[in-house]
Amino acid sequence: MERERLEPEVRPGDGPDLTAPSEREAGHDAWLVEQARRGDQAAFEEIVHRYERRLTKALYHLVGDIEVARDIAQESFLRFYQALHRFDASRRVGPWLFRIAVNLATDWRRRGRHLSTRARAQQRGVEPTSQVGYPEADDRALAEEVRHVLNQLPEPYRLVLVLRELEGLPNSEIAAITGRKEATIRWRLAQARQMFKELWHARLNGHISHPKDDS
Amino acid sequence: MFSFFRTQWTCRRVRRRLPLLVGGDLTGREQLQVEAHVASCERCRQELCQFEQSAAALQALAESDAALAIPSVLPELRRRLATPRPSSIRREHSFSAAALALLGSLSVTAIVVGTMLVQWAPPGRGNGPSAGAETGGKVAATPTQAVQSSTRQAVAAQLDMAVLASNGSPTSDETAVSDQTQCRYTLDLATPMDAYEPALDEY
Ligand SMILES: [Zn+2]
Repeated sequence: MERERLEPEVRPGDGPDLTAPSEREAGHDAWLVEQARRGDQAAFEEIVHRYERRLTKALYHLVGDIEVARDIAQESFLRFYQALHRFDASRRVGPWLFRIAVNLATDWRRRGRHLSTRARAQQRGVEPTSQVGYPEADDRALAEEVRHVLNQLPEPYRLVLVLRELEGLPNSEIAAITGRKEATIRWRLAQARQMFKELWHARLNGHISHPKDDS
Repeated sequence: MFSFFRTQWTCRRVRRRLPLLVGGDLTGREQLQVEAHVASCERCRQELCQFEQSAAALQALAESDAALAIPSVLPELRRRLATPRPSSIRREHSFSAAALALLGSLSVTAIVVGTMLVQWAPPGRGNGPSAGAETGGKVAATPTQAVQSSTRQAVAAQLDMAVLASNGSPTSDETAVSDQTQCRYTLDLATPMDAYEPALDEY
């Protein structure tokens, strides 16, 4: 009982609070939402600009495919737009957008990734993006190792790790995005770190296949 | 030294909190109890070391992400909105005509305004509103580069160790590698007790 009354903490270790901009920026978000509601497309586009990179990056870690991540990000912004008239201006944009995106990513995974990246791109009439990647081969190899292990975590645990460790969101934000209590997120995070640690060290000890072994 | 604790926590109780300690998610008495235990328990200290190593691996991925080039979705968003068609994510869902009409009218003016807004966006937010392939270079050129390379080396050393272990390579190399992967967690014995809060117990 007591734990649920704890104040949300924001510590330096939380990193940049990506879905919770400063008061001034949160105010600016609210202003943009208001403008977009009145039909100001530029305001809506700025919302896209403000959030699309962090949103797509998080989605990339959830679905493991940058093109699918971009698709889902796009869809999230559309749904956000469609729901603008229902948006409570006292709420913050970031958690709402992330919540839409996370739900879409979950749906997508449940539906079994039935379309390949290329098929999706062809369906849209555009070429798959080929420039996406890391600048150095070493970085890419290392990132792939970690990503491979991360992908083995059950979804709810991967989600909290991605939002916290990769996106630097504080637990209070993750709670808002996932609709859980902060205390729940805290312990889910503990379990997720435990699982990741075990998988990572199993990988180090050669008990997990190398990503390049898969196909 | 830690005699102000009536009882030392058990290994089991401490271990459940090590993943929280490593991420800076413990405070007050709970943190002090766990730290006190780790200071005097070699096995829990080794466990904590493993958490640090896996946390460093995730950190390396996060840092690589900073240089990840992600083209903006806006061009596709505009194209898709200009041509009425069902959602590519959930095909049963279609957009309202009003939204399509409004969004379809996104114009060159909007692009120009969008560009201005990007420039006008607040500085110092590495993961800020930037979009498009050009962000890769921009984000990579942050002061975290030194940290990036050291994290990468530490994690790369972990991987090297794994290779050495699986190849059964000479121990001299292992020694050299393990020097780079020492656990860095140091107990902050100066932490005051003023941040007391009830221990979050027993889930
Ligand atoms: Zn112990």
